[in-house]
Amino acid sequence: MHLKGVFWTLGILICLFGISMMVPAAISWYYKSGHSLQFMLAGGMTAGFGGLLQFFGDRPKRLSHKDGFLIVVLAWVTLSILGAIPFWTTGTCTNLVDGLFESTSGLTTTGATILTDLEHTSPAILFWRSMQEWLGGMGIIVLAVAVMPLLGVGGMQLFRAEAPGPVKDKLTARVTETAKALWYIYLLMTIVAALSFWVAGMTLFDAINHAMTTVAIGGFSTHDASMGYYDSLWIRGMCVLFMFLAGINFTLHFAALRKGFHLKTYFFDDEFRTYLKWLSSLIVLVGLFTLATQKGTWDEVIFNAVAVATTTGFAVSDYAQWPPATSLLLFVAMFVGACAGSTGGGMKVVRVLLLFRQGMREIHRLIHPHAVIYVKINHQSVSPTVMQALWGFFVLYMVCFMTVAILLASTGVDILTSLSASAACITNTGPGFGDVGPASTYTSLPDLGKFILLFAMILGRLEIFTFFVLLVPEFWKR
Amino acid sequence: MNILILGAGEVGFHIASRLAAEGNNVSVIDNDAEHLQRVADSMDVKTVFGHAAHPSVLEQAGAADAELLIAATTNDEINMLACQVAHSLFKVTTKIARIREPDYINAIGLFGRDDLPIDLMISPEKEAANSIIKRFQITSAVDAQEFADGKVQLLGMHIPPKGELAGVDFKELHEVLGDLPIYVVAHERNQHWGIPKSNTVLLAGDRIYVAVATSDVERLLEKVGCDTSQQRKHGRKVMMIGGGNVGYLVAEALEKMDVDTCLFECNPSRADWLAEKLHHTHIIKGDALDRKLLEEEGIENVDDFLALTNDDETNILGSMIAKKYKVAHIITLINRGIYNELSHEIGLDVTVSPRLTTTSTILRHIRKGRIFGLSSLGDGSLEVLEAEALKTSAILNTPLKDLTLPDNTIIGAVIRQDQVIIPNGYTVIEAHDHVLLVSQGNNLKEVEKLFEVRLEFF
Repeated sequence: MHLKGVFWTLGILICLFGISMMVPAAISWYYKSGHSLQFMLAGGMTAGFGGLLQFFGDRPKRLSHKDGFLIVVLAWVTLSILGAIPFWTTGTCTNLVDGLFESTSGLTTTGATILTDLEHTSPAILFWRSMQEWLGGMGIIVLAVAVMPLLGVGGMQLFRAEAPGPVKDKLTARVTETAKALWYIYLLMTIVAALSFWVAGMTLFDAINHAMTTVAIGGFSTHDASMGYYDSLWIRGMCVLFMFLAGINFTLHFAALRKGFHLKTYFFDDEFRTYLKWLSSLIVLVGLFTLATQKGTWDEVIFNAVAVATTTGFAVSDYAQWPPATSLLLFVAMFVGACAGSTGGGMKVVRVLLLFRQGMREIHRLIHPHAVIYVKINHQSVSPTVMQALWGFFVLYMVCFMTVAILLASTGVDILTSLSASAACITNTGPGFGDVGPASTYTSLPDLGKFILLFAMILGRLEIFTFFVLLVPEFWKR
Repeated sequence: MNILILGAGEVGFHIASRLAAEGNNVSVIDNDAEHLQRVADSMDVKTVFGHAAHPSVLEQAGAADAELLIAATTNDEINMLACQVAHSLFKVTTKIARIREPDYINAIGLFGRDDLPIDLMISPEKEAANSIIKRFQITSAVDAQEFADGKVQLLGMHIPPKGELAGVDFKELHEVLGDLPIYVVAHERNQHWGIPKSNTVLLAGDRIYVAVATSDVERLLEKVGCDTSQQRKHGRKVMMIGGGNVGYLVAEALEKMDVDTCLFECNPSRADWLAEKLHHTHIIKGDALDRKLLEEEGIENVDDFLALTNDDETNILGSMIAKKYKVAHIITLINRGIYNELSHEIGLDVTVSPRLTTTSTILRHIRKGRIFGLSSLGDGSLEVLEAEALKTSAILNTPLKDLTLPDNTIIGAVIRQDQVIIPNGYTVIEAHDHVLLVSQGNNLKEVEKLFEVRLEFF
């Protein structure tokens, strides 16, 4: 382990994050909401802290994979804490935990909020929430690798530790180029989304905010009613489209764009086809139950199903009031999540697909005991090591989900709320059911409960392993 | 014509003997003295010992005067390199190479006059796989050969004991088959092949070859009572043994059809490789002759059995085991000539020989010109020829019944533009028609003369 190198790298990340706080400061100045100073101060403090770390650290010659894990976990924890400073100093959150919760929920693109009365919250704060989601969506470390060629040395270690999915590919020969490519696509998608929202009738400020939180699959809104505030099919349709697009593996976007927007590239991909089938069957099933009981309309069904299945967490109506079967379906959808390599959360479609295929394989093996059968994806067999890692992931994911839910219940929260809050946070969806349903916020939870959920969110965003590896004693041995 | 053949393996040997018998000057190069000795002992050719791609060896074999080079060593790279050397140093006009590796074959732009100068690539495995697939698609028939770009087929079939054809003589055939136009071009009884006479009576157990338009094949099979019901069934169950190159290519082709295939491979690492490459085929790791294993995979319910290992004996035994389990259609891959001749005694219905198919492809290419197709039927004593009737030809404008053809020669089909005509006595051949002739024994030269066709090579 090369601690000085870790600090130096961390310093850069924190500086970058501090500088980004100048954007809400400028917004505040523009809207004259009087929070410029707080943001400038917070930014200055953050950047200063980063500078200090860099001063005491040393530029690393190379980073080991262990350093990579350490940097990523430390970065997510410290950035979540530092990102909370504006919430405290502006007095938006009076409580220490509340500020942390809002900041972490933003960075991890969970979108669970404790803020109420968003209509009367200062634009700078709203923008800061959206921007945190946007930075966390593609991964702030991937961003750092993209803009800081200095990080190229250990870039792949960092990239691997942060990017979601079971197998991580480089798109280009150099990791910096890969990170850049991902961010370009991300940026492009955000700009197009913002323009579409704007044209569809949002104010420019709302359009930019929603574009950032949609493409990041975050789910923060500038209105209490979330997307339900906009009674326009156009806006909702655009939002569904961009949630869907952002839930696709960005590697696929990259491959398709390089071939001149080649649609076939998508359909060659097993994960994409499964994602498409899964979303459509979910919509049909949820739709059947909902329409049969006349609790919602088709456009509400489509919007809410896509929002939950991609783990965005927007809502146009209170789907917690729909029949119990739909709630359970959406509950499962949270776990399946979006595609690997997207900005979405959950376990990822490809993992579920592979586990399912593994199950089918075992059935086949019973019928043909001497057959050689591989689990395949895109016509290539998946190595047993990856499959084992997948099982390990699945078990740990479930253990974490249950542990968080039990801890939450032990603080006095009811079963439905603790189960769904745990699921919604670990899958980075946001709204759950019960007290934390789409129509309410996380305010009512006890402080200890919120604190536990902070961990669930980071655990989910870093896909368990990256976080847990630090808790193993071997990790710290020389 | 001066011909160079590189490699005296099965394919090289067979081609050399065919070409030498037709009166060409053939030189054979090999780096295995024993193989060369075998060639020298059995035919009148020149043999040269050495590395087939070395310029000095090629020169010694007379490459400077050669018009045709057939590179048929077991090594793709040597074959390609030899073609390049022959092209650059000796200006050999036509170069044919045996290329196994699909990667080379599929590489577009690799071959050409300014690139790798190879005029025709032959892959024995691919040829064998193709003919297996063709026979698989018409499994009720014993044999199936395509002519005129697939418009006409020669179907070889057994006369089933209780079928409609048993006990019928050829004059009555049309009454039995109704309006279905077919022409019986070859007939076998007691191992003896011949051109049928009009008074021949078909007996159960005889074999015949029938010329029929491809569009009529299904109707014919239905009429004859070759259980098409089973063949039509969707999700046909196929069992294959041997996952070598041929087995892999066949399995790959089967995956595109609506069949359920299971493939036995005894080499564990090859089985892994197959499982990686094939997506819908069940790969079974194990001995193909293990009764328990075969039963486990349900050999009783299998519709087709394909024995495609590299070992003839395993293929024959496997096919016989399948026969014991009453598998309806069995195709056996046979490499050695002797087994091919024995196939009927052994009880094999359909055999495919990579060597024979490769040889006929090469010969067809060499004979390009007025003759478009050439192959042999039965045990090889009957030759099939597809030729174009020129304006100067003597056979034009006379009804067939008045035409004097060489002995033991019949016209099985006439292809006029895209139309297939199954001839009768009143059919008249027009200029530019393609004619499918079947001829016995050594009449081929006479037949060619009839068409005023010289063996045009280039």
